[in-house]
Amino acid sequence: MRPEVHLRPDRLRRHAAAADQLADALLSALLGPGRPVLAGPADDELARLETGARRAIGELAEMASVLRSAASAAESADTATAGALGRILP
Amino acid sequence: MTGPDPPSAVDHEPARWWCGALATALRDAAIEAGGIAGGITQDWLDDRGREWAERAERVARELVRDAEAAEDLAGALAREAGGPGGSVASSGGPGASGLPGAAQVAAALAAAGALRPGARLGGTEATRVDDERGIRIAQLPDQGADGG
Repeated sequence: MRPEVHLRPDRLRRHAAAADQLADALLSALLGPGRPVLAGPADDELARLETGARRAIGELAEMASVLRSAASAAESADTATAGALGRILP
Repeated sequence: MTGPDPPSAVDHEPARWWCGALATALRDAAIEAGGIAGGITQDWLDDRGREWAERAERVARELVRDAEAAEDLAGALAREAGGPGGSVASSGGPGASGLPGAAQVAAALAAAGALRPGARLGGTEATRVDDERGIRIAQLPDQGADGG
């Protein structure tokens, strides 16, 4: 049996939506008004934190995409399985 | 001739507030990411699912680390300005009452990890353990002097 059959597409889509929302929230935090202009090491540290947050945003966006793809694959597998059963069973 | 006036506390207040807000956002995101990792662990039970659950856990851990760094930066700005030292919480900055603590984040990560099937390997946390080793065999209490 195809492994995708064991997946729950509705749940995977819920996790994908959560990852998207989280990425949006992080981006809002980064782009919010009032980003201070600091000097020296403090500004370097702030830039490092921004880079880390952007990396997390990218990871979450990719995660959401992969989760949605897995959900679609699960739905396709469910459909194929239902079709096969329909041909076998009276 | 006198030097430039030292920065007053109010000069760093917006920056300190912004860093505190960023720390709050990062901690909230860490908890959410931990929850997503737990969800993937439960709902995607193959190698790819495990890979993505681990990636989500890694994102959560990095967000915790960056949240702590943002808090440290806010504290450093406070000290530099000569204001009340230390934490955003003590200064009354954002999240003073609602900042998710390290315990909450750790609980979310632990919940995500606890759901993962398979062997669990020891972590890298330094925890003191009992020095005793081996099996401790139950023994009867010593007989009394009268040999009862």
